[in-house]
Amino acid sequence: MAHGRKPAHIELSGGKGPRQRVWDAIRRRRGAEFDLLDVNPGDVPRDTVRDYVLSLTRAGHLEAVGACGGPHDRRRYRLANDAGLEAPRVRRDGTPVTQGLAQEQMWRTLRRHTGDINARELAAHAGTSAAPVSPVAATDYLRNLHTAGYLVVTAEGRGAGRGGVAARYRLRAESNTGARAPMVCRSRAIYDPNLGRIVWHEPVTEEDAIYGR
Amino acid sequence: MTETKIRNKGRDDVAPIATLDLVAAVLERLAGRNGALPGLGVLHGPAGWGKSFCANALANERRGYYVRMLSAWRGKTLLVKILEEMGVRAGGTVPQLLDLVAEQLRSSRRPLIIDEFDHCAKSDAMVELVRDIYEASQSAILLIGEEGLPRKLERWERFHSRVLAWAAAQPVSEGDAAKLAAIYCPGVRIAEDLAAHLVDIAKGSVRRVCVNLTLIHERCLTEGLDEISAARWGEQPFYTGKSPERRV
Repeated sequence: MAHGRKPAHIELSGGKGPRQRVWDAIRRRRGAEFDLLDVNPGDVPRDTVRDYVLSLTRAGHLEAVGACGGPHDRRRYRLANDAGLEAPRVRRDGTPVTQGLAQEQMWRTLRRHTGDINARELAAHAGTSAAPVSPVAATDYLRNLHTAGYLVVTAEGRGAGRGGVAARYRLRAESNTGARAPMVCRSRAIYDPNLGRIVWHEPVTEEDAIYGR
Repeated sequence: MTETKIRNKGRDDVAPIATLDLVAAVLERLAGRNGALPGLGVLHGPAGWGKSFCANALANERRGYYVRMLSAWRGKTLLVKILEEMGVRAGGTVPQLLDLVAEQLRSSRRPLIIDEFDHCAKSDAMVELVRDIYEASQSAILLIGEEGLPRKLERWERFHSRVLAWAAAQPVSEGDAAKLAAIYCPGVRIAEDLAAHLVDIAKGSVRRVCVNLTLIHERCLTEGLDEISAARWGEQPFYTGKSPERRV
């Protein structure tokens, strides 16, 4: 800190996964050494903590202190390159994970956009060089957010393909839950990290239990 | 569903807004060829000239924190809103919040984008606060406002002299219009004379081009056209931003 004061500790609000909680614990020990046990929030499997610490080390966020070798559990680490509040999204080899960026960009664009938008416009405005967004992906995301009640339809779509008109949507003011993007999960559910809960999941019936799906 | 997805993949993609000339030119002016954003940058230009296109493209490319100022905001509101964008709900005094904002900007290395900065450029306190954020974080901050913003900021010499990049919003080009047509008027081939006319009457404003492309798209759908020229379009008025003329 420029003024020599110890900064107050802040953490992300809303829901947090195990990696985020490990990252929070690491940041609480800025300037100090720690081992795997120190940064385990308690309810996170040891393997998860070890994997994430290893990934962060390979990505250059952490550095191992002292001699290499010996069991992982004994090794000590130090925060070398802080990345802020949000747990860095890195793979085991230290490379960044781009999964989820497209949804984040679409959500950011929807929140920033005044007026209504269709899938094509959303794809063009949300796409970046690192994470391009196709009109198909934008259609999917809009449809999912609409199902979960985030959007109002301002103009119904009709037809398909050439000559079809794409539906137009607008984000409800009260559904602007926060900066973190509601994620459409693989299991056909939508999780809002701002609220820390599932806001929509595919309806299930007893037949799914009997016949499977 | 999956099959259509695969078939459509790649064929139906649209060019990201960041590839428009008017956006790319501004981003290059701000970030330079090596891509490093300067400390304090100002983007200024008339309404409708794609400033928000640039802001959005930058926010998405750099995962920037974007806030749009309102005239009623005071210093604390601005800090709380920035923290909300960072995913933090925090309370405290203005100096405490300032520390939190600066700390996160510095460690995340993500830029801060403040739109409608004209609202800040009315009060000493707000301008000083943004300078504090900059001094404490030494991070990239982009301020966006109307054409007159650089002049307004001259009042604060210490602030003005810290701005490292001034970027003026760019007029819409014919190349841009072609890319926008694929977004706002898909499935219709627009003849060159009509496209040139759209850019001409837009007087630099990308917003007018988008509105008129939507107009063309609607008419082509109604009439079942898949191409259109200036002659075919005829006399139907375009949106030019002027107030409607008196009809007698």
